[in-house]
Amino acid sequence: MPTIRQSELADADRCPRLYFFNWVVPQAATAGTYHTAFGSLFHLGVETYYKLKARRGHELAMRVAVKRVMRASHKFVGENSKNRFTLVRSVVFYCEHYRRQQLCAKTFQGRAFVEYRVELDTNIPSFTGESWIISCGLDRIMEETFSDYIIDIKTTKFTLDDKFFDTFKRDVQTFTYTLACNTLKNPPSGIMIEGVQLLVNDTRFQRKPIDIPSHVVEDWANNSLPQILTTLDKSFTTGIWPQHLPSCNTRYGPCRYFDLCHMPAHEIEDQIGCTIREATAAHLTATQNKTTTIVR
Amino acid sequence: MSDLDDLSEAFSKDPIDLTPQDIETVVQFFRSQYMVSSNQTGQTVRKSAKPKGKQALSAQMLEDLNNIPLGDLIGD
Repeated sequence: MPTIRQSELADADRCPRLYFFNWVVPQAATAGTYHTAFGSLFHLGVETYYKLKARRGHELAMRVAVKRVMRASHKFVGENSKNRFTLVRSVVFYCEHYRRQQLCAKTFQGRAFVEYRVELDTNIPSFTGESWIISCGLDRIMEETFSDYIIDIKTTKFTLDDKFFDTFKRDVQTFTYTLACNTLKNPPSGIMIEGVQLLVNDTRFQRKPIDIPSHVVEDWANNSLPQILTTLDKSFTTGIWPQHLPSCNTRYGPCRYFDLCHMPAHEIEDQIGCTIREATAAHLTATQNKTTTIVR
Repeated sequence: MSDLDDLSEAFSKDPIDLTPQDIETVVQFFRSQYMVSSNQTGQTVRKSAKPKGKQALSAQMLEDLNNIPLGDLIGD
């Protein structure tokens, strides 16, 4: 069954051309921003911490997380508030900050639900005739006394205020996670964003549950999601990846593919080393061949 | 050598040369920073969480830190 990751879906929603550069021609995507790299490395530290904390306790888990992040970030440069030093500092601060938290990573047979993958069957037909599957990688599932939460970590330079958390109330990732929750045997009661604010001399943390009315998610699932997947389907089969101009400039600055994207088609093809149609055809075959088992 | 020198040395090392003592230096340095930071921002710090300064790792912890293969965690 054709499967796309939740992050692919978010890019497809933002701009089909962005999807093309990020997922169809990975050679173009090698110039990932340091923001993304920093986020991935921080996730690696937290993931390691929770996996080990469940079995070996806080002290050892923190040290292994630090060791792993220091190894993985050896060549990471970054800038003022997002560099190797602030990365390792943030991992230690995180572990210390949440060491006595009430929320614990949900465990099953001694293993923590960290980087847990859920496959969501959309029942929306794809170019193969089968339905599209959305694969969601959940950071972790945490349990409270009466309910579970899906936790998603967001690193940012911005203040962790209501404005920051409100951006996730209308977000493709939050919507797909909400739908994914409902497919689990014991559905978590919601999504909690774990904000991590990076400053030059400090790292701050704030958690907040994201409350989304069910009719908003239903509206998105019934009307917007089919539209996103149909547009993607069309690009897969025609090899045409239109630009979505409002996405050329974001709050963080211009899209990282701005220059490449606005070149003449033959120059884009020179840069990616093949024609757009060839790249699309190769990606179509790869997507078609992905096998997925629905886990519930 | 000062704490900062030890920290700087740990950060300048090739990752495969990092020793448990380097990791301990890094952890203790940032842990102390966290305590200062959390006190300044009014976050609750329990007495038992105060930094204990540099201290020798227990033999068991040293062994554990060396023996957990990082690659094994990936497919966990």
